Amino acid sequence: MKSLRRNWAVHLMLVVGAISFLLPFYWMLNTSLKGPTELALSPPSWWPAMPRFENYPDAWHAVPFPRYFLNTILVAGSIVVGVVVTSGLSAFAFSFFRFRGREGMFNTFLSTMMVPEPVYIISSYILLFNLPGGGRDGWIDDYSALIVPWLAHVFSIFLLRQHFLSFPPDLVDAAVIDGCGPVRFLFSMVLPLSKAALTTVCLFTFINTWNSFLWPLVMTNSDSIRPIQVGLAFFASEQGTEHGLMMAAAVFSIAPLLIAYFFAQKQIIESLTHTGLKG
Amino acid sequence: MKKLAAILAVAALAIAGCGGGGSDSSNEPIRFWHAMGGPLGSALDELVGEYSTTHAPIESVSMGKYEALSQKIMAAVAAGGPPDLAQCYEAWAANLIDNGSLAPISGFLASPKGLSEEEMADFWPIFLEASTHQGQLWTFPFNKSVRCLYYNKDMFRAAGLDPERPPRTWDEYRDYARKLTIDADGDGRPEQYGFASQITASMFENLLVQNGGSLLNADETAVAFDSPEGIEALEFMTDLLVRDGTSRVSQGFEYQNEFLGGRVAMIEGSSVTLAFLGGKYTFELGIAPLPAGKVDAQLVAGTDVVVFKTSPEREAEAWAFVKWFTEPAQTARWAAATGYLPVRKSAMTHPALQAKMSDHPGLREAYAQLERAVAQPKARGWYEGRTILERDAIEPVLRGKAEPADALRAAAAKANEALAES
Repeated sequence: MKSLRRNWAVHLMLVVGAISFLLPFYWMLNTSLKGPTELALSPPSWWPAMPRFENYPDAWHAVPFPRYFLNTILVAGSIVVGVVVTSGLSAFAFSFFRFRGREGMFNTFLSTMMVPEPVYIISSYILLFNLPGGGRDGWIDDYSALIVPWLAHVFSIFLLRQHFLSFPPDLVDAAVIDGCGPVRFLFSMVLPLSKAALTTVCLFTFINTWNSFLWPLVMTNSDSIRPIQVGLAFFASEQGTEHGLMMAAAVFSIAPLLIAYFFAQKQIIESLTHTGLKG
Repeated sequence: MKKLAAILAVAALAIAGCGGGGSDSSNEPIRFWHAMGGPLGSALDELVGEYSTTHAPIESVSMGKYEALSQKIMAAVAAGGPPDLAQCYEAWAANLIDNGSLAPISGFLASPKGLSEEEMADFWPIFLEASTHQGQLWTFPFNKSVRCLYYNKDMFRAAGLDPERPPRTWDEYRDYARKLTIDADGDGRPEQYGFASQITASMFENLLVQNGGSLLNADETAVAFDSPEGIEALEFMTDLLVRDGTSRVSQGFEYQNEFLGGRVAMIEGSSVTLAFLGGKYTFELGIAPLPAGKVDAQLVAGTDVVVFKTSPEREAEAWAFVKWFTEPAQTARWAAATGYLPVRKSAMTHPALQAKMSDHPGLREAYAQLERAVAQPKARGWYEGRTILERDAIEPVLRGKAEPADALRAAAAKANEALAES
């Protein structure tokens, strides 16, 4: 009897939790189907009385979304690959190699996480502007400005290092005694045992890149290389926001993330329970 | 770490190789950075597109918001690669002038491709005054606006008010708001409010000017909004928005939706607000000048355009676009499409603008506010000072957490520090 009652409480909490997470998504869908007059209703309606499906094609054609999509996928894809390689290798070094200044270097890396974007964006612009190669403004308005500065990601290094440090020392010793070199150790032992952590890194990196806004906005000029978030911002301006169109655009811009999540759901949940992080 | 560096270097090379090659800068189109998004951005791109096909190519880059535009300009100027043209607030211009980034507009005016004295006399004097820094024209009027009153004529009729006679004085303002507020069930929460506003310094700034006050002192070294005129203005604003119980106050643009949805009878907005109200209301819309205080005056809002120092040829090309854009025909079409003010008087007779004014007869009077308008402060610290005014005085007072006099004095002290530091 007691367990049933406890289950009831748990289920109730879960239901409340699920609703509070799903509500914003529902509201996005609801708003994306409203016309101008219905949007102006106060209090707002819970159901679009006259669904306006034209919001979707209207939003899609207002800015070059197909191009923005392609750019975001290209940029996010390159960054995910780059971050997995760089943070995998550096976390491996920070965890298993002993070298002078290891802790100091790691702490310096970590401290850079505390600097907020607006603080370094102007100096980054100047740096990228003065790099050779690219167009007339150095790397500005070039894919390289969107990808290269983000190929190393401190949080991912931290995450992987914490995971690597959880390996029992006996495992490492056994590998060394059996004559396993560092490269083989990395590929045959560390990586296969870290699938969940690597998935987390991929996912966080992908979502961060997908959501980044100020950086690509400031570092680019051309529509041909701007990403999806810049397209979404088109509907909000100094004098008001086109909520219906913006929400319609939001629906198709988060669709890929949702699809990615459904496919990787198992690994994500596994890795989150492993790392003790909550999404 | 070596590995990391090597991988980074390889990746960088690979990607830089994919990027577009360098090209000769003299053949590049003129670059224009602005913050126009939504319907305003579309209207601008249409005119820019027209100029690009008939004259010379212009590359229009929208940053969507003034905040982002400001950061991008600062970064590009610091890096030594400014655009050719950009939108610019009065208070940003001072820094750009001091670090020698701008080509003065006065220089172009005197050149053979400049403007004659007659043509210059066709510009509203207030705009030229706002663009003059240290005796020279450094910026040029581009997208300027004034605040006006939007009201629901159907609600005026229902309340027994003449829909063709909007409130004209501060006393009438409060009186109308009271008459237009309906609380049928008497629960103290009206079903219809007389007035609504967002928490913004803009409304206070205009009330201050109308009350004979000013934002800064005459030489712009210290703020003057905490004067008796300022305190009285904020007292009035608090009466209208809070104490009378006839108004809704919102943080963002929700007040516009409440007006469109028929829950509020009057709102203040920029003349550009009309572009965002278009097609979203089902009642008869009225537009009028703001009710006047002791002085019938108005602050001009909006930004100017600046030409950056590049090469004489590029600067001349950039100026050619500015000149074209401010010609009567173009400024009239820009104004008709967006609700910004035409920068030249003769533009008022252009068919596009005439059509717009016959759709909204109140616009004519709203535009006429230009005759008695005053310019925004030009002190470089004012951009921050205004933020302080809004955050430390207007917001706490409207939320009932401070009294007008105390809040204005506290904000004035902080804003003076910002002015002194800049």
